[in-house]
Amino acid sequence: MADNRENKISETDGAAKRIALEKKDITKTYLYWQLFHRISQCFERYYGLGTCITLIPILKKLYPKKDDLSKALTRHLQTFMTDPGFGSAIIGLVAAMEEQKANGEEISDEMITGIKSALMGPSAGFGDALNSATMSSIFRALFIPFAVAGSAAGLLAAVCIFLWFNAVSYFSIHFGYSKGKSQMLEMLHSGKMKALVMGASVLGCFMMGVMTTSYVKITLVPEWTLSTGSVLNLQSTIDGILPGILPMGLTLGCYAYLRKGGKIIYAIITTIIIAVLGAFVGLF
Amino acid sequence: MNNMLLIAVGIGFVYYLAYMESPWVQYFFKEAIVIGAVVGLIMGDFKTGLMMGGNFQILYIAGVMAPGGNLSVDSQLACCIAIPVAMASGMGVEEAMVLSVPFGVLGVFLDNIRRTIMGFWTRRADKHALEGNTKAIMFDGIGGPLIFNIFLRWIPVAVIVYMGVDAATAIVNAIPEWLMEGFKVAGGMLPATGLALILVMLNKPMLLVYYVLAVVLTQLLSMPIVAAAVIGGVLAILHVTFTTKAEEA
Repeated sequence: MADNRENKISETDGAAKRIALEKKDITKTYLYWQLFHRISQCFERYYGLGTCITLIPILKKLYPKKDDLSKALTRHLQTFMTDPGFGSAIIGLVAAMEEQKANGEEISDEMITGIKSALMGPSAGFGDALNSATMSSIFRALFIPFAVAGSAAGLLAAVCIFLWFNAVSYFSIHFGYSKGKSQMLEMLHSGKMKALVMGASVLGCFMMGVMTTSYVKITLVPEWTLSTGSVLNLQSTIDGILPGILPMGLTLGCYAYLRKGGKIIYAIITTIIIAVLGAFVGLF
Repeated sequence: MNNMLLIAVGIGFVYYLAYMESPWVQYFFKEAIVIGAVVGLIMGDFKTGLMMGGNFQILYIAGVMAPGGNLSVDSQLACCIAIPVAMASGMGVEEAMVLSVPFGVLGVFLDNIRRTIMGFWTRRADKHALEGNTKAIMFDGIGGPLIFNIFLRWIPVAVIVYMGVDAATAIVNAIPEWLMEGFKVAGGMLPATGLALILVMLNKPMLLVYYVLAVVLTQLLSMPIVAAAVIGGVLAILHVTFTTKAEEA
């Protein structure tokens, strides 16, 4: 189905010309997505305006008549919010639907809006979790040691994030264009995707543990000289039981607090207060 | 003095880029490592900036997006102010991290203002859509906000950096020793909050066992980060394989 559309040249057989979208139209839309779609973000409609702009190359081609164009522009100014990686699949899908509609198929405005709204939630949930939370954090974790040591290789963290999102987004928009709605939802819920997210989450948790050891520093200061003359150092004693228990405990404590709905800024302020007071009384 | 002005303008521009909200730009300029490196470059010491950015990145590793795209901490403003101040005044990186926190909060207010006012452009675009005027819509969604951001992002940060560095150095010298020491300790502890946030965002409490495993393992064995990543990757594959088999059985 997709191949026919991608390679078709407009037929002029006396009847109405069929307007077809080509691969380069989709790619141009992909570029608009990557450059523009978030600039005008607002509370009322989030990325609505950005989405409309993203679709402008396609809508201009599909609707040469001003009336149709302005209707299309208006319906795509509606609220839209999703992950920049997989979200472009919805854009591709919308492009396909608009193409069919422009060529006379029975596709109502409500259908297009409905599909956008239905898919942006799951796609955001899945995409934000995989791309923004997990993969981006893993890339950062991998390259932070280089940056901290003063090596420019640390910048590769951003390069990796950039490449990852671009790859996901490029694949998604073309995929969305060629698949139907039901297939998209099916894919999002499919076993393979779940396995991928699970695997990435395992790695994510593991890397956070590695980072805890490297970067969360808590050293207890107190030590006592016993009557026998030997020195009892609190930190060494604790290390003898389980090294790293303090950084781990602190991190998991924050985790428990945040999971109950605590705000990150309170966690940060509390940590600072504990640290300052602790240093003051000579604990740290 | 002229030098300081250029630096302030440059750093203001970095913050401008960080909040341009163009995905391609965002992938780079929202990262503390990149901000640190560029700020370092502007101030003539790439390496220190990079190192500070790297350290800040640990605290701000989570990318701090709450559901709905609402900002919880503005890590970019925190870096854009705290890193230059620290570099100019000779402050250590842990203390700088603590200094960055209030700016993280300030930035959230700024972003909320931004997103409230931005509705203006979308409403203008509604009118232009009725006219079918795509050029005007493009300006509403791109040119307009970009110009507006000059006043919201670039200029204020440039002003704060310009006035702030000298003022901050004086303040830093006035802070009592014990408080500075406390900040140093705090800076060492703060990364825990950032890491915890990631664990919450991953949203799979059972997998915390891998977290614990990693802490214990890396405490006992020192290894290069790539080796740790490989171990983690292997565990991930094993986990998925075993749990899938268990479901199929």
